[in-house]
Amino acid sequence: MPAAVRVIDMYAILRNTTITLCAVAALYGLIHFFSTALRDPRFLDGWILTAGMAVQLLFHIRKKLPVSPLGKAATWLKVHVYLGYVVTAVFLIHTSFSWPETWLELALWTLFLIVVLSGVVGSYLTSSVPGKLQQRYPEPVDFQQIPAARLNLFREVDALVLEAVSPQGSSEISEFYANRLRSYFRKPQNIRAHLRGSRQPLEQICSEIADLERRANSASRKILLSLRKLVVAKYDLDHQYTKQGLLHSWLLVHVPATYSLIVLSILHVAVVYAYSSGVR
Amino acid sequence: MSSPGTTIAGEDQLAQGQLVRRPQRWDDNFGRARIHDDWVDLIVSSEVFSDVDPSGFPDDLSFADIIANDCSVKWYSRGEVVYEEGSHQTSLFIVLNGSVRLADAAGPERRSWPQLTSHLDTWLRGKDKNSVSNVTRFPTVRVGRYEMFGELEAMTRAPRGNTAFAEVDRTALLEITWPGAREMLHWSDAFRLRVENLYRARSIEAALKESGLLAETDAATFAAIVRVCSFERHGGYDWSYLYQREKASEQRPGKVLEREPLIVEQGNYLEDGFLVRSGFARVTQNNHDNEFTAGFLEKGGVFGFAEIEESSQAGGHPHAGYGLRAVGYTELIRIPEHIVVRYMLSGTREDRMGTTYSRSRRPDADLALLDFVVDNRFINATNAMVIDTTRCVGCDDCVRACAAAHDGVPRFVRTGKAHANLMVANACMHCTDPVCLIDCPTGAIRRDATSGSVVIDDETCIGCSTCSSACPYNNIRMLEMRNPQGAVLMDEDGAALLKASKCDLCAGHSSGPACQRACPHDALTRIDIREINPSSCRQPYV
Repeated sequence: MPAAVRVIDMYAILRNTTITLCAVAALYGLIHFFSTALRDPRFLDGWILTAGMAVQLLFHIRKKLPVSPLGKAATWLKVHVYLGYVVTAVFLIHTSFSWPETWLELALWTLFLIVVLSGVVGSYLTSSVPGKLQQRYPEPVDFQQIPAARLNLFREVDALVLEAVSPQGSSEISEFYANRLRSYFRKPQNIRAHLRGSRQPLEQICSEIADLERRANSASRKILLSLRKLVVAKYDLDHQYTKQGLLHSWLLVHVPATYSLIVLSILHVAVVYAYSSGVR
Repeated sequence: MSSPGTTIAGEDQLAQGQLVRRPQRWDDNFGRARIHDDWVDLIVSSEVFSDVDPSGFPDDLSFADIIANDCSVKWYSRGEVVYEEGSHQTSLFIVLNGSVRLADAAGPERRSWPQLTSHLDTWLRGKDKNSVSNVTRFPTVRVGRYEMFGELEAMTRAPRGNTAFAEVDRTALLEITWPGAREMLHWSDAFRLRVENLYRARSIEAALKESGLLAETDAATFAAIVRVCSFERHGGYDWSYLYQREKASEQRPGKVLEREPLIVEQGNYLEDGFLVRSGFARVTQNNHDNEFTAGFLEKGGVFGFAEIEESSQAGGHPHAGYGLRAVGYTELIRIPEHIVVRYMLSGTREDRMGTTYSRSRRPDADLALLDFVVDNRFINATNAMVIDTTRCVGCDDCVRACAAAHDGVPRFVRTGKAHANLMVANACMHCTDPVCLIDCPTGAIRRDATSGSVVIDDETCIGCSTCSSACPYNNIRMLEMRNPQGAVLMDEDGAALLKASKCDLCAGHSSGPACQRACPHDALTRIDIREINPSSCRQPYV
């Protein structure tokens, strides 16, 4: 929680990694031992893989049953992540570290890869993005509140530009707004720049405002100063939208891919048992 | 008459089963039967309330009605427990017949060997656990006929500080629930004065006993010390309304602490030491006319002892090294300097509750965090929902879990005041001093007798919004009542019927608060907020 509790628990990471490596080594030993018998070891590692994937799925079920006495979701997530590494190792053993040969195997490979990679990316994003956002924005806007905040900015800038249309202001500001800024304020912009962490689009707009300032009278200059502040606020809002969107969007890949993988895995088991009894 | 913005209900609503009678006080009285009229007449005219003038009460809330509905007469046999130490009840009692003994907080721990063997006997014989077999073996205080007890907890909403049990068979007690007691205190000056005097007198004794500062003194010395100590109150019980007004006028210049009642000014001559009886006090330090928070004190905390000790060793008069201000309201026991020196500074430092006498500010004190916690009155929280914003990904699993535990309606909002990466969400904090339950007309919002968490009884809540208005943290929401078809229920005037809704720590779910358990990133926790930085925030001078 506060700084003292926020310290990364290196002991826990080391302990969990050690347990994971030991589990992988033990499973590898078991499968190797089994391979000396007359049965095909891929049946053993295949079922270990299936069991591992079933346990991984339990995390999803735990999330769907929030009031059940099934332990803390945080503990489940830790198990989910570390077991994910074990399952990946078993998957590689199951495939004998070789490329897929059939269309079904290729599909399984691809889906497994998507699930694992999206999971790893998700883990990285959830552990890094909130901290960085907190560092940059002491009072971050909640993801669900961002559209409302954007609308407020849009209304504010509209009112400001209307002020500029009055006799004291110049038409240059309203033209600049209509041509350049209206679309900027209406919806999220510069997503790719935000993903790269670039502020180049913002600097571009600010330099255009600076151009206007050079030609503006004092009344218009005041308006342009406020306009610049709103442009920066909108850029920051878009940045938050992009980063917080990432935190939600990786699940849109991870979850559907997981379900597809389960369906194909069941098909795979059915096909295997249709053509083989497991005796070498 | 309908209030502005409402519509007179029509036949359509009647047909849809939306029209219902607005619930009233005493409709559902926790299943408590109304006292029979004959008994009411007897009680009202008895010596118990001889000083209360029934004509001082309004017509729609007569004294007799309060006695009939908010009180109950209970009979106890010898040794039967009325309430136990640590239980959370806010009613007060008057002895109608027989007598009661109060076993003080320190009593059970100080049992002698014969007393313990007696209790072992009782246990082996399998006596009723709700009875006390040998009432004379406890260090007790006797409460006789027509005397009152339980007022300390009723006034401060604190857990019971002692165990009460009947001294003789056929002991009859008049139990006055808090809503009834509140009305009597409000409408009868004589009753208010009686309770206040009793409260002040007993507070000194109770505070000194509970503090353990005089654990080694004999009964006669203790009684003598009680006589020279005095009780004082700073601020008022209605602090939440004042605080909300202060919040509403945040544009006013000046720090929050500058608007808090000053108890001791830094540098002033310190005639007495102070023991906090209830409420909270802010310890401040002045540096070049900049007054800032150095810590806070709560019940059992003492102030000025370090200065008195230093001056007693070095000679001269003690001067306050820090300032002291009332946060909301603070009740203090003022202990004369010579008593502190003679009886309270003896023994090793570790003996004195294992805390330190250091006058200097701790180096690890996060002053900004202290200000945040005290300025926003979060020191009141025993079970705050704190979210670490560097971990929270905004997945709303906590909100969904809360909704799943409460028929689809979440009981908190995942927003709130933040300091650095700590956000105190808008969820009931189950306060040490739950001001929300002071003015509840029915007593629907109350403390759970066992756990002490603040809960709302849906059957008894009449939707008056008093608790919601009183909560200084905006953590109670009024929800519209709906029929099984989802239509909003309305009264005859067309106004929607409401019920108060707040976090109940998932009472009824054995696994505890669902929100905390549902957070996959360990970002949300329920904590006693005073534990955030215990080494620096809490009672630094005891």
